[in-house]
Order: sequence, then C-alpha cells, then structure tokens
Amino acid sequence: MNQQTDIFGNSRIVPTAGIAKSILLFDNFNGYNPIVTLGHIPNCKLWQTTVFTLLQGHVTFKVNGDTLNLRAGQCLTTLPDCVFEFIEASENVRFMLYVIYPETFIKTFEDLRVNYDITRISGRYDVVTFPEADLKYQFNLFLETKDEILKTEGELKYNYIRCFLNVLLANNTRLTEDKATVVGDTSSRQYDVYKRFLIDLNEHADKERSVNYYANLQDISAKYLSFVCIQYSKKNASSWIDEYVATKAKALISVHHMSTQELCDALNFTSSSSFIRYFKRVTGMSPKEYAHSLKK
Amino acid sequence: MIAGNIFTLSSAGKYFAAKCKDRYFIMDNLDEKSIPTIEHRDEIYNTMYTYITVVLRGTLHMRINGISVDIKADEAIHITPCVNVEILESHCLYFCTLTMNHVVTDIYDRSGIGTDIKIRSFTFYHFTLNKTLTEELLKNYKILKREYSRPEYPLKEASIRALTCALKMKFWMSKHDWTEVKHFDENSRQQRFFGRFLEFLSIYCKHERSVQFYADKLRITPKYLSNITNSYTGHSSSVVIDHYVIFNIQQTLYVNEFNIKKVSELYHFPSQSFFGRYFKRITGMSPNTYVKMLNKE
Repeated sequence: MNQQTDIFGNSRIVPTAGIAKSILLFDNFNGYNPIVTLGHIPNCKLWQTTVFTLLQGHVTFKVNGDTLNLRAGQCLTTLPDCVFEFIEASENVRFMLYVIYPETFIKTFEDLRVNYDITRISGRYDVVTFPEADLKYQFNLFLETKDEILKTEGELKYNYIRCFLNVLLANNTRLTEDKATVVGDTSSRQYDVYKRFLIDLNEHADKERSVNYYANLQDISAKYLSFVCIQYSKKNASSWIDEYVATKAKALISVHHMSTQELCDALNFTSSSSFIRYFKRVTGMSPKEYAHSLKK
Repeated sequence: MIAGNIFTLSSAGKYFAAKCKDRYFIMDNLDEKSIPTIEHRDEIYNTMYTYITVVLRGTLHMRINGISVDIKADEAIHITPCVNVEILESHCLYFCTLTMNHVVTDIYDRSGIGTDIKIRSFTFYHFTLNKTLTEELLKNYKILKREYSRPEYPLKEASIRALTCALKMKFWMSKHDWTEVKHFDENSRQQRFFGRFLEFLSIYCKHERSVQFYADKLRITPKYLSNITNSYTGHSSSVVIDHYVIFNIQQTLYVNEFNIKKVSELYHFPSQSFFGRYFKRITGMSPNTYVKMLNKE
C-alpha cells in the first residue's frame, strides 16, 4: 500500500473517456445506475482536482466534513486534498465529472497564465450555480472534450486535450480568484518543509504515525514541523497525520472491506484494539459503525 | 508596413466576423444558404498576422506575391507575415482565422508543434485536405466561434487562445490527411537562394543587417540578391532584411515581456534611440506606441 491510492484508476469506476493519470471524464448519460457509480467513489482524500456538475436530480456529498446538498445546475469543484464522502443521490441524477490529476492541473494553469499555488488553495472546494445558458455551454464543452479524447491519437494528444481543459478551467473563474484561505510566503524554506512533509506523509502514513518520524526525515524538530503546518494550513502536524491515516483506513474499509485485524496489519498498529481506539478518536465512530454506515 | 489587415471588418458583403483584443480575428460566411460572392480586395502587404483560410465550397481566387492561387473546396491556405495578398472576386464558402504573429509563436511553442513553422515568413502554403479533416476543422472552428460570442469574462482571451491553438494543432496533427500544393519550384536555383537567404537572416539578423553581408554569405552579388527577392516578394533585398528584422523583433519583444531596452541590446543597436528610429522608419510607429497597441485592452 505504498502507492497513493488512485481510486479513479481502479476498475470499478469506468471513465467515459480519458487520458490515464492526466484527465478522466465520467458521466452517466448512457443510463447506467448513477447511484452505483457515485457510490463506488470511496470516502477518501482526493489528491486530484474534480469538477462535478449536476444536470438533473439531487446529490448529497460531504466535503471536508461539510454537508453539501447539490441541485441541478450546480457545480462542485474540489481542489487537491479535499476529503470526500458520498452520502446519497436521487434516482434521476444526471451528472458530468472531470477528474484532473495534479500535473495536468498545474500545466493548465500555466497555460492560462494564472499563478497557482497548490498549497495555498489546496483543500478548498467551491460550489457554483450556473445559469441556464452557461449550463448548456458546459454540457456542450463536456461532450466536445469527450469526443476529442476518443478520436484523437498521436504524441500531441495530451497537449491538444489540454486546450479544452484550458477552456473549462478558464470558465470556472472561482478557481482563478486569488482568495487564499491561508496567507503564506511560498518562496520560503518553510513552504518547502511543508510540501515535503505532505509528500512524506503520503508515502509513509500506512506505517508511521509519529510527528517525530516525519520531522527526522527532514532533520528538523517536531515543534518546527508543527509550526510550519499551522502556518500554511491551520492544522498541526499530528492532525494532518491523523486525518491521513483515518482517510486511508476509510478507503480500505469501503473498497477492500477489510476486517479490523487486516486493517491493523495494513496500517501498522500493535493490536486491533489500539486501532479501533485510534479510529474512534479521530473519526468519532468505530470502524464497525463506519462500515455499517456505508451499507445504507 | 504595419497597416495590413487582410480582411477589413467594415467591408461590404454578408459574413460573420469577430475579434478578441485585436490579436485574434475570425471570419466566415458559413451561414449563407447559397454560395456567396466575395468582393475583390486590393492588394495589401500582410505583416502583423498569420492567417489560415479553409474553403468548404466554391473557389477562392487570390494573388499572393503575384502568383495566382485558386483555393478550391476542401483546400486551405496558410499565409505567413511579409506577404503581398490580393483577393479577387470569388464565390465560395469559407472560414478563416487571423492571429497576431507573436501569439502564433507562443501557440506553436506551447503546443509542441514543430518549431520551424513558426519562424516562416515571406511565404504561403496551400494544402489539399481530405473531407474528414475539413469537417473536423470546421467543428473546431465552430467551437472557437461560439467562444467569441460568449459574454466577457476574465479569462476569455485565454480560452480563445486555447481554442485557436486546438484548431492549429488539429491541422498539424493530421499530417496524413493533407498534402501540399506546390506553387513554385522549390529546387529552382532562385528558390534555393531565397530559402538560404532567410536561413542566414534567422541566424544573423541580430548582428548584421547590411545587404553586402548576406550577399557575401550567399556568394552572389548584391544586385543578384535583389533580383531574387524582387521576383519573390516584389521588394528589394534591403527592404526584405528590414521587414524580416521587424518580424523577428516582434517575437523577441513578446518573449521579453515588451522590454524595449533589452531588445535593443539583444539586436546590437548602438543605442536605444537608434533602435527607436530604425523601428519607426520601417513601421511608422515608435516601439513604445507599438507595445502600447499590443497591450491595449
């Protein structure tokens, strides 16, 4: 489990069109069961950017703990590192979804000449309501992008499809507004420490949970690491670790249906009871209760 | 020299035209039911734009650098800067895009299309497309056209740039679906000389701008060089050098964020005022005015 879980890369959720590890398009226009599709996105921290537009019906998500009730004509954009949970959807749901991987996302912003700081705005999400004309436009753009992905070949395909992504993101103007939730100097060493911590965390969270461990990786003190985390995200290092581990656990429960013993092994806990206690402390419910809540 | 916009938007005739900040233009007469007439337009010297026209039905008659060119259905024409263009009366259905030079360079750089095409000037290319490609290009054009018609939003220009890029990329990625129609013998002695002249210009224009230098490089007399340039462009060799240099400067200004001082140093002008005077003599405006014009909202 050393690799970052790419939930969109797993075979249960089939994209309508896409370029692997760059940009994936999903929709349910062909009528396959939307609830099944959406429900297969497990609760997890999304490290890609997603743009979800609801054309018809109602959908309820929980993003970063906030409950969002989306109705037709609304578009949810989640920037990297949002914790996502699917709650429910109405029978008549029709949606379209873009999943944009970080490298592509950054390149697109470079194309648009917009300064983008991945950490300053990571963890943010936005809900926009489109007027009728804009919704139609977005729908057409989605179909055109899908069409171009399916019929284009060759070495320039990726650059070509990015042109269409440019248009999508240019129209999602909220993303390009400079409203950072945290102010931080991004050219300083502190920022490098923070970024490095997130990368290390992603790699080692299934084995290591102590702040000291991550501080040692960078030859700094645990106190300094926490300080840096608070500067850029208002969360200290141990909160980050807890959240990461809990998210991984949730993903393992929902996708792989692991038992408590298996989870304890996978995440390097000394005993299943210590794991249960940890999970309950961080998420507010026991693993069993969580697994049960998914079945509803 | 600057005043060379091929299709003046105020001409008579039914067509659709749109522009974005004077850097991007599109035109078409696709909404006409029967094949419409296009009126004669006097010859102009295109300097600021690269332009691409695709003909869907009928024939477009043009004279480019004095050569008669007929663009029939499912054919396209790509005209680079520093070219004399005359449009003769025609009956055809077409669409076209005009893009300012420095934007085109940027598009070619970012998209990964071969870099040599971006520095082409003084020439044109005539292509035969297969039907599928024409339809694909038309589809891309319609997406671009729709974007022009949308109400203003902060990144609208970026969207238009992206879709213009997509249109160009669609063409260049489909190499198997078009063939070039040659209008002059590339292997003729004159054509080879002209080609090499442009190559030397691209290498040395930042340092050398005298006719004697290039004539020596080509091992011909200045008189013969002027003969060659006259037969292709209708201009003497010193004019061609000046125009090429200005074309080059336009790209460099763009890449260097319009820093006039830096560009005048890059081109080894004795001083900034020399540069300003040279620029004004050829283009009719000072570098400052030019930069202001490019950046105006």
